[in-house]
Amino acid sequence: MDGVWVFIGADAVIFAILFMSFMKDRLKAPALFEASRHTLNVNLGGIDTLILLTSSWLVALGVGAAKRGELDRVPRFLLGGVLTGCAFVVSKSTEYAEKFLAGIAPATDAFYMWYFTLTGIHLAHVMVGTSLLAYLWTRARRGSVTMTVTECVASFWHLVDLLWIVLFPLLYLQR
Amino acid sequence: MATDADAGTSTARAQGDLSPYPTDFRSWKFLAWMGPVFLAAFFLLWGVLAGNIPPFPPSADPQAVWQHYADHRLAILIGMSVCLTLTACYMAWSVAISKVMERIEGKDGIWSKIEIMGGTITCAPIMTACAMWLAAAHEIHNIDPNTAHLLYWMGWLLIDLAYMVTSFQIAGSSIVFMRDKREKKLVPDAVCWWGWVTVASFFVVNAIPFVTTGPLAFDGVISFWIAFFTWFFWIPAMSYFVIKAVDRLKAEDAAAARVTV
Amino acid sequence: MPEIPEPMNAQPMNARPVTRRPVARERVTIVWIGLMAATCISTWLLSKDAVSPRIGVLGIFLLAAIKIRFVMLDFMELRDAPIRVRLAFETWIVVVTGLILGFWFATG
Repeated sequence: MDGVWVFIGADAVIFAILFMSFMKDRLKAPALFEASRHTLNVNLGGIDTLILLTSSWLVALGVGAAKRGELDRVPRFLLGGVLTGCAFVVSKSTEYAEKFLAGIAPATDAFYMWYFTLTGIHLAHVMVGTSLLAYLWTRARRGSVTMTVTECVASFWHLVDLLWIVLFPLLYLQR
Repeated sequence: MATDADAGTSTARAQGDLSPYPTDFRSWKFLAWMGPVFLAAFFLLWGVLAGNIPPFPPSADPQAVWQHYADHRLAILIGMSVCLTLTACYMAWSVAISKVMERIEGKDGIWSKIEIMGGTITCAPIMTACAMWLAAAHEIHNIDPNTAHLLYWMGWLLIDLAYMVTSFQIAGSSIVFMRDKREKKLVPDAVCWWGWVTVASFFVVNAIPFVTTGPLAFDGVISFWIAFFTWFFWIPAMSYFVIKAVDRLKAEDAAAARVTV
Repeated sequence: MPEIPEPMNAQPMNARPVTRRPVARERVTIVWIGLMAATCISTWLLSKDAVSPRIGVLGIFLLAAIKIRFVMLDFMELRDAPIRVRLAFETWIVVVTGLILGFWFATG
């Protein structure tokens, strides 16, 4: 499934374009962006990063176990990936709820438009990735999953992780 | 089937083909070239001449929109009218793709039918939106700014939000071409995966009714630049391999004919 | 009937193979610990007012680049990938980090 790298690569390049577009808009209104940034929940964002890193780690362990034929361990690691993925979704939803309750929405200003758009598209990736991991987990429990599909899903998941490693400082930390 | 139907030579038949006529590879290739023709027309006429790359901003007020149509009336008249006519090439191109898909899926295959429908119906929002913008330009001195603004938005909402017919077309082609069992596939996996990238890039466009600035607006980096240009890249990529596929299938048929003699 | 002794390395179907490495010793685990530590440094140290914005932002994005590289090489297993794929992704890190920092320094 070499073609999947086209998908992953394109996804990475598209996000890179979005990062640049964000920085371009930030250049035009730095004070506004900085003021709005201060309302973001940095602790929650940091925890999100820790969650996704852990999720990637568990999935990587799962792939390693599959390669070595330790088929009993694979479902456990994949389940760990699924649960941490769900934890991210819950955390992000909490963060969004916090914002909406404070009267902040995408249309509030240019920074928030970017914040909701970038984290929203990323969240969609997390949900797709978690669903794929869940599918892998059900197949792994029956012992009927191929290495190729596993590695493709795992690679996508690691992409989701590394995109957040950029997004978090980009939106939450840079002053 | 051999292209020169000679009573003396035996002709190999494509699978399940009961027709006494040989496959018309020349027309097939001509129709496969309609993809690049469409793209050139759309890009140059709609995009450059009529001024849609990049689009006139969705945040523009009725007066600004009216002025834009008044200032660029002739360019928009030419660009939109010719583009409207040449959009039919996209339909013709879709048929060429579908017939290649049938060689993998079988004549009764379902995704080749979805592809042909998706590609054909894609023409509808494009033609209709072009007609709306054409009418706005044509009638600009008879309408008020609010009407101009309405026509402008009507075109964009239609051309953008109808994306899913194209998604079905692309998905169908990606699914079938990835199933090709040839050692060297007729259409490489990379093109099919690019198709999936294109399909994925369309979904966010549903945000356009709700925003007039920023990345999700119909002139924004996501809803315009990424969504349109992934599709702009898919068309020539698919065209290249479909054009080549016609030659490959002709050779396969000829080889089969020689074997069955 | 004399008992047939079990071969030394016979294992029941669901026993753990003796050659299993503990999770804690796997390379990916060591990488993960490093990534978690780097995240804590960025989030709860470098972003604080005690650190100057310039040092903070530089540190944060350089750390991010390093983290991403480890995710790519060890989690995504790009170490073993064809050189073109690995090069493409490593280029992505350099370009993205460079452009972000470039924009940051250009911003007032």
